[in-house]
Amino acid sequence: MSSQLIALLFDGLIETLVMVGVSGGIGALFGIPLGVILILTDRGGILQSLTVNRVLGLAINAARSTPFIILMVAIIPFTRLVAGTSIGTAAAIVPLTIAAIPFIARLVETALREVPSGLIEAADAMGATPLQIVVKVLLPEALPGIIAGLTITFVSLIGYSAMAGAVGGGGLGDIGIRYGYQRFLPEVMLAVVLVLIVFVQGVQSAGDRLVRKLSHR
Amino acid sequence: MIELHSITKRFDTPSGGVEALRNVSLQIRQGEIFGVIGRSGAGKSTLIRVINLLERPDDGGKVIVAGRDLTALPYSELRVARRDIGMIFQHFNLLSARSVFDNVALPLELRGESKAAIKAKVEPLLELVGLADKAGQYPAQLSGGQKQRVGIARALATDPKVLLCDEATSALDPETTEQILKLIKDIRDRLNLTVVLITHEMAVVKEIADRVAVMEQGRIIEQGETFEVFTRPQHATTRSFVADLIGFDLPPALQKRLAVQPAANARLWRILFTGPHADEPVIAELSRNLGLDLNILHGRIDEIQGRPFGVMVVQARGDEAKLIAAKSWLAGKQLTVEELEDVIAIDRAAV
Repeated sequence: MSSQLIALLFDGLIETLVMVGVSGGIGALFGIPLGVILILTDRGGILQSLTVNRVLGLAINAARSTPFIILMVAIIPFTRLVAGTSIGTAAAIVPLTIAAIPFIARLVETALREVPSGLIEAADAMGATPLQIVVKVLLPEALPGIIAGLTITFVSLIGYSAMAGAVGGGGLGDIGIRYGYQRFLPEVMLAVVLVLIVFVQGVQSAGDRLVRKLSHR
Repeated sequence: MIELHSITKRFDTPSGGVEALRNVSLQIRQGEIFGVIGRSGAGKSTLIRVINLLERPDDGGKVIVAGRDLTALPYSELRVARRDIGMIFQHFNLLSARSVFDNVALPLELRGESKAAIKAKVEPLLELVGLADKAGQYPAQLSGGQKQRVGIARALATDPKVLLCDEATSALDPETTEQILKLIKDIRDRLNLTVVLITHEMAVVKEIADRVAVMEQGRIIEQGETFEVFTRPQHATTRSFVADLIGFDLPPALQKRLAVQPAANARLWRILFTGPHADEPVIAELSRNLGLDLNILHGRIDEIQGRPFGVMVVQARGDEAKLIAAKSWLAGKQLTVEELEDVIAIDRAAV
C-alpha cells in the first residue's frame, strides 16, 4: 500500500470521526432529553400530556421516515445558515445531527421504558420531584440501555456519513465512492471497506464493554 | 395514626369503570401492626397506595396521617409529608445501578442531605437490618430476603412514623418470610412505628398483625383483633382464609367417610379451644367424668398473638342425657361447641 493511500485513508478516517463524533454528540444532547420527554408525557407517565407526546412523536416519526439522502438535500438552506456553507465536512455534520436526534430520541425512549415502573413508584413514595426521578432513577437505571442505543446510533451514523460524500462531505465513504468507484481503484475500495469494518467493530465492542461495565442487573 | 374516611376509588378501564375501593373507612392506631388481607383484586393494593396518595381517592375521601390531612395538601407539601411514610414492596424496587449503601442513601439524597449526614444515617440502618457487610454490593448480587432488608433500611432512612408493606413477603420463601416478618416486628417495637401490611397470606397476618381487616370487592367486610377474627370469623371469605391455617373444616376424605357411614348414637362436635380453659385436659375430663366415648377425628392447636387456640372435631358417643350434660359442661369452660351434623347431612344428601 502506497504511503499516499495511507495518508488519504487517514484523512478520511479523521473526517469520518469528526462527522460521526460531533453529530452523535450533539444528537445525544438533544435526543436524550427528547426521549425523556416522550416517556414522561406518555400515558401513565409522571407528567402525562398526550398532546405534547403526540406532536413530538409525529415530528420524530416524520424526521425518521425521510431518507437521509433526501433530508440532506432538503435542508441545504438550513445547513448553509448553521454551517455557513453547504459543502464539506462541517456542512455534512448538520444533516447528520438532524438525522441522529430523532433516532436517539426513540432509542432512549425504548431504554427508559425498560426501567420497571415500580422504581418510579418507589421514588414517588419517597417524595422525589419529577426532575429527581429523571436524574436519580430513570437515567441511571436506563444508562446501559442508552449507551447500547448510542452505540447503534454511532454505527448507523458511520453508514450515513458515507452518503454525506454526495455533498462533498469528505470522510471514508467519500473516498470509497470517488477513488474506488468513480476512478475504479478496487484496492482503494477494499482498503476503505476494511478500515470501516475495523472502525465499526471497534465502536461496537467499546460500546458493549461499557454497557457490561455499567450494568448491574 | 392513620385515618381513612369514606375512600372510594374508581378506575376507568377500556371495558368500563372498576370500583377498586367502595366507601372504605379505617382507623389505624399508633404503634400497631395492621394487616389487610384479601384475594387479588379485592382492592388492598389500592388501599395501601391511598395512604401515601400514590393513588388519590375520588372526591369526598379523606386521608389523615399523623394528624395531617394529606388529601388537602398541595403537591409540594405532599412530597414532604411522604417522608413520614416509608414503603416496602413485593418486588423490592431497588435501583439496580446503585449499591446497597446508595440505595439506602437515596431518600436522603432526595432530601438534600450532606454526604457526611448520609453516611451517619445509612451505616446504622444497614447494621439494623443485618447487612453492614453488603454495603458495596449491588442488588443483583443479593438474595430476595437480603433485597427486602435493603428495602426496609431504605424505607426507614427518613425516620418515618408509618411503614407501609405492600405484599412485602409474597416473593419470598416461607423461611425468609418469617425472618423478614420478625425484623418488621422488631423494628416496630424498637422505633414505635405504625405498620400497615397488605397480604393475601393469612399466615403473615397471624404471624405479626395486631389487628386485621378483611377485604372483598373493594370493601372491608370484617375487621378486629387478629385473635378474634381468627377464632370467630363472621364472614364466609374470612372463614375460608382462616380455614387452612386453623383447621375448621374436616379433610374431604374424612367428611366423605362420615357421610357414607353415619355412626349411630353419636354426635359430631367441633370444639373451639379459646379463653382461660383452652389449655386444660378437657377431652380427658369429659371422658372420665361424664363417661362419654370420645373419638378425636381432626384437630389443630396453635398460638395466635401469643394466645393458645385450638380446634378439635370429635365424635361423641353416649346417651342423650350425657351428651347434653357434656355440652353444658363445655360451655361452662367457655369453650364453643358446634354440632357438625348439618355439614355432614348436606354431604350425605350429595352421596
